[in-house]
Amino acid sequence: MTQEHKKKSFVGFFLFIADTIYELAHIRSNRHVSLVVVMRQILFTGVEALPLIGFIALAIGGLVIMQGYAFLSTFGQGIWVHKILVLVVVSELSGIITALVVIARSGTAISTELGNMVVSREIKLLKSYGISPIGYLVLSRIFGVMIAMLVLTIYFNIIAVLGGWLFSQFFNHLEFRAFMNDFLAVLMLPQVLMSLIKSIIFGWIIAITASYQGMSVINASTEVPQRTIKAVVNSIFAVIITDIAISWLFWMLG
Amino acid sequence: MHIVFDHVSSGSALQNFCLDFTAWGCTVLHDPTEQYSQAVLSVLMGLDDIDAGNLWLDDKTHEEFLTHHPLISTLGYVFDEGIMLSNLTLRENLLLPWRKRFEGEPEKAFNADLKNFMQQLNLKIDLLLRPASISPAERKFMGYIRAFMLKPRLLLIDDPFYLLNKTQRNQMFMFLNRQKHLQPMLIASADDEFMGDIASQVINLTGICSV
Repeated sequence: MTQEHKKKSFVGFFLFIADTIYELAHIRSNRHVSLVVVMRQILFTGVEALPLIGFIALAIGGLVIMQGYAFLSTFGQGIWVHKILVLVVVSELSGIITALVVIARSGTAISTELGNMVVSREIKLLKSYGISPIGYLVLSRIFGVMIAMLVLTIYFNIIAVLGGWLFSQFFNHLEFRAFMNDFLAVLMLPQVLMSLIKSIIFGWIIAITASYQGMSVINASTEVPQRTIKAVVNSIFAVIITDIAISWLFWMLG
Repeated sequence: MHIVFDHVSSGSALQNFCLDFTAWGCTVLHDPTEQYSQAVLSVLMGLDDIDAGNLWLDDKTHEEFLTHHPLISTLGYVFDEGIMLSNLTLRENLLLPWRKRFEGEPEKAFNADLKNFMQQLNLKIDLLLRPASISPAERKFMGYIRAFMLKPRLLLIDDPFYLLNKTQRNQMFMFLNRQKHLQPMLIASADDEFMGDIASQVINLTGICSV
């Protein structure tokens, strides 16, 4: 890719964001942004991803407790395992892992679907009705993915904590209430807030990047997989950089 | 509607293109080389950008005209390939633009209109199917119905017979012949059939000034 092309696509991405903001500002005139489309996106991105997210969360929560307990108990500091669960899982891993799953499932699906719609001239069909494709197709996907990411991250955290408790049974038979008391004692509001803010921002990043790449297909179906790969790679980069930035910001704010 | 292409360039299809005509009844853009007709309709619909020159609709620029007249009630478009949104059912595909065009109208009116057109075209299709489940010719017929139901001021039809077999062509020809008294149309076609009885006027695009 030439420098000129890279520059164009960089500018194009920000123009695309500006277009979505414009359409969002005129949401009242976009009455065709149907709740049904948003609900379908939530169903696909959120509900259908629950088993996979649940499995990963259970494993991560359990493994963090297992490794943490094995390591910390050698110093007689087993109590700090809950702090690790909060710091590692709630603050960092829940958002990142949920985002990676959503990129793999929904980011690729959005990019491919929109790319195919460009090739089959469905975007032109919408334009022929005077309907903005960004207002109709992109906004509903952005709303859907953001809501799904938020719900999935909360779900990840709950299952990971449950996984942590289940695995901790192997080391010392701790009652669920006692485990939760220890966990809640180290869980602070800023950490929960950070986790939720990250999930919403990650959802926006994934949806906007995938939509941009999908809508950037010009006319050949061979461009669709290329754009999908770009959507995945760019989303991962953007999510990780944003994660670092938000964590740093919260750390600075104390 | 008075339409003027004043040295319009758009993509690679139209270069310095000039055309001045008034669309009434059934206007046929006869283009045996199929060089310009689709591009003319695309530019009129605003689907292709104008790189240079001006397009005038009733003595107003295209942009100014469409600011005052909503596109959906002014211009309709029947795509040559009978395009439909693949993630919606056939009924939803027809309902989406209809709701935008006739905001607040009861769905009863939509159902009655749809039934009428389906009977005229002798179509028996389950409207809860997705577009991929029906044949391209059936999709094309549904595309016609969708466009006619919107009752635009001028309906643009690109290559009316594309994807249709001989029987379907006859059926469509009779349908268009009936509709030409009710719906002003601008047909872009290379078929000689449209030069005859159906056309209120024929504009031959062969040798038009595009340099």
